[in-house]
Amino acid sequence: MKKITTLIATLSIAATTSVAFADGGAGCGIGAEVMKGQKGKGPHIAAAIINGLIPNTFFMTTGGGLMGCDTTKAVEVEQLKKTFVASNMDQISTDAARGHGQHLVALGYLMGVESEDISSFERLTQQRYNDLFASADSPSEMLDSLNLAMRNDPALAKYVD
Amino acid sequence: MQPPNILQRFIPATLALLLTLASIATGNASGVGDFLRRGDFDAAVDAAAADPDHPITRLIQASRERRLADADLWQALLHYRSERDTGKSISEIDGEWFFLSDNGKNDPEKELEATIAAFFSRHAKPPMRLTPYCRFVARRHWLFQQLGELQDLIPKQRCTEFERFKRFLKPERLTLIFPSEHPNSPSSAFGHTLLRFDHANQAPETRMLNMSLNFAAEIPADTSAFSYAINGLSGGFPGRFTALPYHLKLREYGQMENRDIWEYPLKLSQADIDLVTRHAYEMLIAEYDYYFAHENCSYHLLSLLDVTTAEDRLTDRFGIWTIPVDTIRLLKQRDLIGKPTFHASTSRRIKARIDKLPAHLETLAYRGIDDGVDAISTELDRLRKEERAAILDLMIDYLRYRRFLRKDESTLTPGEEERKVLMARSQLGVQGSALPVEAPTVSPDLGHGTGRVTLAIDRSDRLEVSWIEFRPAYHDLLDPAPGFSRSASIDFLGVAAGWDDRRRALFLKSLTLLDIESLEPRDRLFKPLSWHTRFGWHRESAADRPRFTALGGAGLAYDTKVAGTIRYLFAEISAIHDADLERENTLLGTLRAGILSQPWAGARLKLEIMAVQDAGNGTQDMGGSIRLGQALARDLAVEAEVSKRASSDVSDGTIVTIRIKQYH
Repeated sequence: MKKITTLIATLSIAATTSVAFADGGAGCGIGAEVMKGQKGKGPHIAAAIINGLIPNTFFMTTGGGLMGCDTTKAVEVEQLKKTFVASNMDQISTDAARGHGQHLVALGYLMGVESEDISSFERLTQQRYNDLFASADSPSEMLDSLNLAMRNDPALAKYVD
Repeated sequence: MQPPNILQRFIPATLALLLTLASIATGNASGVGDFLRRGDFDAAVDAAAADPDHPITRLIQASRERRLADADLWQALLHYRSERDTGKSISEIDGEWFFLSDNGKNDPEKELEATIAAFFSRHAKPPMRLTPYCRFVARRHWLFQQLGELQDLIPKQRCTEFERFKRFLKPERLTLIFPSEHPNSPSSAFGHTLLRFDHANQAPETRMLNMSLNFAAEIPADTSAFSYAINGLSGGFPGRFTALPYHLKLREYGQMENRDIWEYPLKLSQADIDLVTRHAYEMLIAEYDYYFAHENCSYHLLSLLDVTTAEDRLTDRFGIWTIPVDTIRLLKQRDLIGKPTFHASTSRRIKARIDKLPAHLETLAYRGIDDGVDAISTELDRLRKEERAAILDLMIDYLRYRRFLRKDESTLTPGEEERKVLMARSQLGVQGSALPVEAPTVSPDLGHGTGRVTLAIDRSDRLEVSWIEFRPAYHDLLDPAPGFSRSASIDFLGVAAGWDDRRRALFLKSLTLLDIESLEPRDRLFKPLSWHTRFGWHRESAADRPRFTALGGAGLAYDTKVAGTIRYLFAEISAIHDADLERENTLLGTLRAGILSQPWAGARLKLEIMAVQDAGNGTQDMGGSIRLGQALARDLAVEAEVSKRASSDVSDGTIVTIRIKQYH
């Protein structure tokens, strides 16, 4: 009996959330949610995902929040970046304090930085740690500050348009 | 007069016949259409069968001629298993919306025919978003291959979601990820396996952005431990695949659960990788009954790879139980897997940082952890920048680790102290570099076999016993160490039969349901509690009655940094049932102290003393043992033991035991 109840519950959740994230006009999936600029939203999204509140097919079907979006390469990368940052703010900021780390390097590549400039990217985040992490309240604020910092850096300006 | 009536009768008759035929044809066509729309594919097959020229019928005919339903890959794609006694095929998948035929779970042929019909449907039946054509991409790809030109009979559909999925994944390499054992958590005691879809030529740090595929039981939050055990063992939980970016799984394993992670690259052709990807897409909507022992996470992950070896399925090798590391070994045997890379757990990384610090800086770091970074700021300022960085790095890692031990909301964001330390670190201007962490010399797949057969003899004044033991899983503290955690012992379902030479009798010597011991060393920073639990029956000779023991205990263990030696102290309580005792049921309290060591290559040494108090009659007894094991080869070891059992009944004196152990 319990199995059937679980089944129905799972199906309902899958059904309602798949409607919520349905294709055709619901906006750019989780990206919008994630970037709502509220404090601590990022980690809670990560927690929600890990706890299975967002359906298991989400990343499969929406490509990480791409459903209904314009599927140009640029937008895809943008979404990837936002999801990554929102779920890993903690690790990224720790790496930035050190000026080195796996998550920081991954972010660098997501920002379009080439391998020869990754070290400069890491150094920049350490230099601008205060702007990026101490004062930024949300992932989108951090990314805005990061873009600004890169624009003003001679080695990295070419990666920001 | 001519009889024009014949012609007159003929034409209308022909017309009538033609009209009837036409109406039958169109009537059936609309019948098939209705059934397709309703998602009743069995009925659609039957309706189409009335017309031998109907495309569905023609395709089904071809599939029967080519015996596609019996094909290895069809069986592998639908996870059909032959029942032992009847030989019938039953699918391991339980979710009903995985099957297109009402009887699809039990009938490969009906399922194949329903699938063919379903590919004609342009309707997605809620709660599904996709048509069968676009959902069952692996089935479709294979069927089209098998049917050749006949595939053109099926109207094509554009499957944008799958195209997007594939483009997003860009799978060019598959990696099997193995977070290693974590004995403090029963469901992960044997480790876990998941799959990651990697690209060729990507920077290693970006691999965490890739998609991973994980199989797990879906356990409701309010499940009691009892319910968890019962349901986990009996298939009471639904299990399913989930696709998540790997960086999220990393948070779970690397950070939250603090486990070492091994990454094994799979050796597969691009065609096989594409096949696995298509099948993974299908499986993301399937559901299984989750069995902790047999059809567990690694079993199902392996079943995903079965499609690449359909004629000799990997999962065929796993019957009653599936131990994750064994799935990796099988892949190695079939040359489907390469050498792994190692990723250290948080605690291992922290210990590596400590090892790099000279003693006086280590002490300073501990003070900073205990009293806060402000408390040590004057000393820090006196140090060189690199030394300051090393101390702060250690504090950062440790504070973070400690934060994740709290399992509440506060784990998600750094606290004030952590933020202070991070800020201080960033202001140093010293750029860190990769921390060199020593990997275990032997990877898990190269350890001894998880099943063990032991041949042994016991000799004492009272005993002359030879015995043989079968232990299906997994590893104890005297087994050869390489490839396993040094401090965890897991024994399941060991059964031993003995020959009592003195009484010339065969007897059942022991049945161990489970015996799990976790001997985690404590130090300045990490303070785990060691624990031990055992349930089972045993007896020493044919003259003894079996004693049932239900034991639980906790302990403290400490590293001595010499020859990998751990010293420990346990306090245990056992509930005993022993018909040989005056009081058959009693409670024993045990205090047990010892050392566990690896004195030279291949050797394991355990010295133990214990004091046992019988709560029933108040008697006390002392006992002790010395056990020395030596590995002779990867899967062969010998052991010598001298012991005095602390027992409140018959005194056995000093017992000498010699064991020969073979692993498989």
